[in-house]
This record gives sequence, C-alpha cells and structure tokens, in this order.
Amino acid sequence: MTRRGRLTIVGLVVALVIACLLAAGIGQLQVPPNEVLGSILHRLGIDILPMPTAPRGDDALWLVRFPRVLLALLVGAALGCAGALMQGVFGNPLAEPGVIGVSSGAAIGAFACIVFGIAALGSWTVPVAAFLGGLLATLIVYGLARSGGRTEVVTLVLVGIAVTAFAGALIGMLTFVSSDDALRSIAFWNLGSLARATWDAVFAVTPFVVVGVAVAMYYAPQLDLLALGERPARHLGVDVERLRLVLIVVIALLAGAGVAFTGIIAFVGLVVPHLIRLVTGPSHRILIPASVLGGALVVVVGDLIARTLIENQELPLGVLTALIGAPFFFWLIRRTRTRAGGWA
Amino acid sequence: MDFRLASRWREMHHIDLPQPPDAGRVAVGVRGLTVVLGGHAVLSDVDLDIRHGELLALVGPNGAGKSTLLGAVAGDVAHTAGSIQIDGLPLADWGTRELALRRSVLLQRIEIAFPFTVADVVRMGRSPWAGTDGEEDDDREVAAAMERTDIVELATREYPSLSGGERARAALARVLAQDTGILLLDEPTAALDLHHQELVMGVARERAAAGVAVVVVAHDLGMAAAWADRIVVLELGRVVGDGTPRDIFTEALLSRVYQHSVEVLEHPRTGLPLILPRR
Repeated sequence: MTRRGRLTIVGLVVALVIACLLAAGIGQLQVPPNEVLGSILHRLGIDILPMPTAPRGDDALWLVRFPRVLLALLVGAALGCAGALMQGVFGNPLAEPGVIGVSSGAAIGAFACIVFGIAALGSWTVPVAAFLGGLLATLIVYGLARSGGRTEVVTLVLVGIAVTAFAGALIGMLTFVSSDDALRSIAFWNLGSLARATWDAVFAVTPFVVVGVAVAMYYAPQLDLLALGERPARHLGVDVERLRLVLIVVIALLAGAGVAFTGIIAFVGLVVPHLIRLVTGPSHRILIPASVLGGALVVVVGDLIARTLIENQELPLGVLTALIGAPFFFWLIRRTRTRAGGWA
Repeated sequence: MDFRLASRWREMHHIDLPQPPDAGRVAVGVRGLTVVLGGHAVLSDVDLDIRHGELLALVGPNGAGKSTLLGAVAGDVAHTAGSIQIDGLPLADWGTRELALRRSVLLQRIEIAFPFTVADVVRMGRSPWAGTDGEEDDDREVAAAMERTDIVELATREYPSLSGGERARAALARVLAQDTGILLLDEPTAALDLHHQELVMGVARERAAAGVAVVVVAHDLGMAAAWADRIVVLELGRVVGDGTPRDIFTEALLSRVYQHSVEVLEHPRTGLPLILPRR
C-alpha cells in the first residue's frame, strides 16, 4: 500500500468518526460531541465524560440518533463498496447498480410487497423482498448474458438495459393498480431516506455489509488484473468466470442491503469511487476499503444535511444525493475526458 | 490459526511450482489440432512440438490461423479435435494459476480500463507468484524486465497516456516479469520502430538461450529469418512448412503461400536470407 493510500485511509477513518459524533448530536435536540461520547462510554461502563444534559437526551441518542447514524454508515459503506466492485468487474468507470438490474429488481420486490400488502416477515418483508428482487434480477441478467461459458461485458450491459426496461414497465403497472396509501409508501421508498432507521434494520444490514466487504477485499488484487481485459487476466492466473460470478452476487448483496431499508440513494456508488481513484490511483487494494469508508462518510454527512437543512422538515436523502451527485458526475466526466488517455 | 486449519488451507491452495526449463524438452505438444469457428475450419490437423530453448517464428498470410493457434495453446480458444499438452500434461488438466506460472502470453492489443502506472502494469506480471517462494524475486524481475525493454523512464507514467510503441514494450515487460518457461508473443514488434524491433527480438533470443520456449507470430519474414531457430509456415489453417529459416524460406514456397511473387536473396555479409516481394 502506498503512503498516499495509507494517508487516505487514516484521513477517512478520522473524518468518519468525527462525522458520526457530530451527526448523533445535531438535530432538533442538540447534544454536544463530548456528551455523545460520554453517553457511549457510560454504556461501556466508563464514566469519565459528561452525560447528555438535555432532557431525555440519552434516550434520544439511543432510540433515534444512533440507529440512524449507524444505518447511514452501513448503507453508505455498502453503496460505496458495491460501486467500486461493479466498476472493477465491468472494467468500466461508468458502471453502476442500475446497469445490471440490481436497482430495478430491488424496486420490483419492494413495490410488490407494498402494493399487494404482503407482510409474511413482518417489518422485514419489504427489505427482504427488495434484496431478493435485486439478486434475482442480477442472476437473470447474468444467465442471459452468458454464452459458451463466458460473459462479454457489452452483452451483459445490453441485457441489463433490456431487463431494466421490462422492470420499468412492471413498476408502472404496479403504480397503476396501487391504492393512494401504497403510492405514498412507494414514493417515499423511491426518494430514499433514513427516517425509518431502527436497531432491527441496523442488525439486519450488518452481516451483509461485513461479509460483502470482506469478500470484496479478498478479491481486490484480482480486480486489478481484470483491468487488463479478460484474456490477459486469465493468462495471469485469474479464474475470470468465477471471479465475476462471486462478485456479481456480492454486488447484489451489498446494493440490495443498501437499498432495502432506505430506498434508492443514487450516485454514492458512482461518485465516491471516482473521487477516491483521483486521489489514490486505481489500485483496488486501496480503492475498495477507501470507497467503503468514503461511502459511509458521504451518507452520514448527507443524512445530517438532509434532516437539518430546512427547520422542522426533512429533505429526502436520495433527492439530495442526486441533486449534488449528478452535476458532480458531469464535471468528473469532463475532467477525466480532457486528461491524457481518458476512458478508452 | 489452528494448525490443522492452516495445513488444510495450504492443501486447498497448493500450487505446483514449475521446474526450471531444460533445453530440448518438449514444452508444448500439439497433435491433430482442429479449431472450427462459425462452421469454418480455422485450423486443420496441426501437429507441432515446441521445445524449451528454441525460438520459433510462426508465419503466414493474414487469416492463416496464426493467432488462433497461439490462442489455442494459451487456452483461450477451445479446440474442436486433437490435443494440446503443456509440459507433458493436457492443457485442461492445469489450473488457471498453475498455467500462469508456466506460460505467459502477449496479445496484439492491450487496453487497460483504469489509469494504472507502467510500474503497476509490469508488477501485475508477478501476480501468479504471490504467496510462493518466487515472490522474493518480484522486485528484481520487475526491474530487470523494465530495464530490458527500455521503459525505466516511463515507470511513473499512466499506461493509457503512452504511445502505441511504448504500450507494446510495457506490455512485453509485464509478460517477461511473469518469468515463465513458455513465452507466446503475438506480433510483439508490430507497433515498434526499427531499434525497438531489434531490441525485442534480442530479448526473445536471450530468453530462448536461457531455456524458454519462445513462439513469436511475425509478419516481417526477414526479421524471422534473422532471429528464429525454426520457422513454421501456416496456410489456410494447415502447417505447410516447418524447419530452419534457410530450408523454409524458398522462393517457391513463399510465392505460393503469399500468392505474390517473392525473391529470396542471400545477404552479402551475413549470408542470412533476405525476403523481398518482386516489384
């Protein structure tokens, strides 16, 4: 790992810790960072910092703020990691979960539950359906795009577009038949928000994110070789087919888990790995952990802004990330295009 | 880690390291190789033994099947009939990683998806050795390969920003750093100037002298004649000539294969065959 890479990782960890402490304290009920830390240490049996002084401050932190900040951290980590992986797997810096059908599949799963009032798994029904939908759509795309035991990237992307178009039609149908109540739920989910964060959601997402990131880290060196192309990667000892299949499942896991509890939060998986690449270079050994941390940082800070920008009102986070992310992405394209080589 | 677990892990990831190549042993054995692509026989019944320590030039007109033969030996192109053996074992019996320790391949065009530096790209050639004793040689092999291909000054440049000729040399350096007993080079000199063409063929020659089996697909017949020990001529997917440059490069054979009248002269100083189209 280069000096620059190590510095980036350390810097992101420090920034993330500070952002989490601030985000937990700021809101309608203000708790200073030292009291936030004091409350956490108190639960661990260490009483060296002051407890929250605001009325019911400790309860507000543990019932509302902490699950929300932790879910933001996990969802951001999942989205950042999924984006970096997807760009590596497809050897294309423009790849994003929408391309291979994860988002569309997840949306169909969640919408179907809302519209038909399915609640077999209680409050977990929508998230689980979203995750399964994302995975199913991804596997269908992957299955259709394979021929002769191999997958051409162009075919994969084209099939992804076809599946996304079909999913769009299904979502339109579901919207057409749904009640007003269901429509409101769908709209909320579609805009993306952390307002429904609970400890249950945090515990449900954690294993997906931990496993997904661990597998991603294990395969990071092979992703560097895949940048040379499929044949050269194989010549260097990479089992390209297996690598791609494993990572597509991991991408669906991460993107599905990231989307399930919070709806569609766009552009995090696209912009974060780009920024990291500009700072540390393209090596996935640094890119993947840095994108995990950077994604978490962006969503924690983004959620803080979304719920404090307008007093007593909450802006949907997905709208905010798209508003900032899309113009930023245009700028990134221009900047990279004008540099020597650009994107071949 | 628990001892039993550690040994199970090693067993699962056991990698057969290659023996140092000894000259004369058959590295690649091709028997009755037939490749049919889209209903068209691109290769028909090809027999070929490639030995360690020899520099073999594969020549022939466009569409003769040179790259397909190289691709089949590299394990990229599935064959319809016949067999390919690498170091005495059928190609399919080798694991991807074990194969990567035995043969390296330079393709005609290498594009890279992200702006890795030249030094990063060359170091990628060492990846099959990760976790083996060969890992200790990484720095030395990378430095030597970059030195030998004249790209030391390009080390910190981003690969996509290089010219065609610079890319070709950086890609060759990656393949050399892989340090394998079999080296398959598809037109390694196509993008290069005269000086670097000679440099690359000189590197291939050195490797062969060190016991490596080197296959070079070449269009420049004069260059093939000057550097190769052995010439194999392909025509419409069949081997139509196999021998020393002096035996193979005759006016009759070349004129027929290339469907163009060809003159073969003897160089007044070196005595090597000079091959010219009759104009």
